Amino acid sequence: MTITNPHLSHEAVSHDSPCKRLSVCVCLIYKERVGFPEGEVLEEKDRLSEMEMSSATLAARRVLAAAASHGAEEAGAKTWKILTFVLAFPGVGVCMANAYMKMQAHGDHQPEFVPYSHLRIRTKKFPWGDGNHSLFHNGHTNALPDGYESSEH
Amino acid sequence: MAHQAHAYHMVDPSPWPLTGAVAALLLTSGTAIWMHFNSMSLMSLGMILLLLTIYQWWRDIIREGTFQGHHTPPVQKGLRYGMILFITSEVFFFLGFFWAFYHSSLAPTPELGGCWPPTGITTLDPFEVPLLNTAVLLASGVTVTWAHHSIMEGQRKQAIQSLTLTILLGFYFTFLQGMEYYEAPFTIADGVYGSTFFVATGFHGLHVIIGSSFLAVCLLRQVQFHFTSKHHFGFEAAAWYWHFVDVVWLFLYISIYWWGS
Repeated sequence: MTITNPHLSHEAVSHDSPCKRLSVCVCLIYKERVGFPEGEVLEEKDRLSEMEMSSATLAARRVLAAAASHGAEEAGAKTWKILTFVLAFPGVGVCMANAYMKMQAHGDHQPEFVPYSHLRIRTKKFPWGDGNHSLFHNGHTNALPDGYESSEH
Repeated sequence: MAHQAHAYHMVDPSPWPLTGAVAALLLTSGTAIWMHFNSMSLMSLGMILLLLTIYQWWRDIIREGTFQGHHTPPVQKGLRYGMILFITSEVFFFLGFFWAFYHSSLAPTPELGGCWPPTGITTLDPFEVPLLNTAVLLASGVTVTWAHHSIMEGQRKQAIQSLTLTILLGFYFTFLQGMEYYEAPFTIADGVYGSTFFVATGFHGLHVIIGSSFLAVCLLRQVQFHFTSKHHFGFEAAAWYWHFVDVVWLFLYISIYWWGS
């Protein structure tokens, strides 16, 4: 049985709408990678050459091309794998070390208690416990309206 | 053998929209009742119904798309529009909380001491854990992109590795934020500073958990061969959502943690 309806074949459905430009711009960054069959991608490319590309998408392609100059193919999985282990993870590691050292330098500081009326608001009880402790209450750093709890320092 | 003369998806009748709506009603009214009448029954019932709806509705969509072939190119295009529109609505959701923050912080009232941060508030050092959190989310953006390219290139093992790393980074962020919440010298009840801080970062944290769950489902599907190199929109939607979560964090970090300290 032959299917002649173009909607069911892999020819592009041709429709121009204001939303088309937006969706094309979003899809442009994943140009060849959009899950559309080859025929439709070519159609989109032709239509794009008629429309002006937004400067944002042009910039994004330049960035990808620059990143790809390191890899053999255009910004492939290999490039992002390298970025993960050379840039992303060391960045996280540096920030971990930095946070750890800073916490060592001044951990355990309990802010002085001043019974300000604009803080420790209790116009309505919390719906748990005794209604006087916030959800992440920390006896050491969170004073109650009357002051720090006596069991902690 | 196609029984329809078009490429669109006429969805079979489904109970999940109704159960979802009932769940939303029970959750909202249940939370109000919990806060005023000390009963968790309605809220819990709503939560259970919501989880059941989520599981079964999305299971059905996966069946329709991956196993029954209903997600043709035009259908997929519609799904893309849908996800874009949804994320846009979420942008507006967060815009409201940023509006609230800037409303209160740009013109601090006399009650707060006429300054921001308000008198008596000890803010968190933006260059300690918050900076680490920023690095963690940015790194997860790199790993999720690695995952996408791996899927497109048919690299099954790499896709699984990079997607797992992304999810682990998401968990690490959630863990660090939880720790920050516990260690913070201020609470949600500390005036407008506490309100804006915990509501904005709290909803963000909820979105991180949602995004991590979405990615985890994608990992399960990738392991079970649901994705092809040309058709993996579920993963793309999850990646878009994850980047959105990352961007919201960057705005939170700059506005509340850094400028607001």
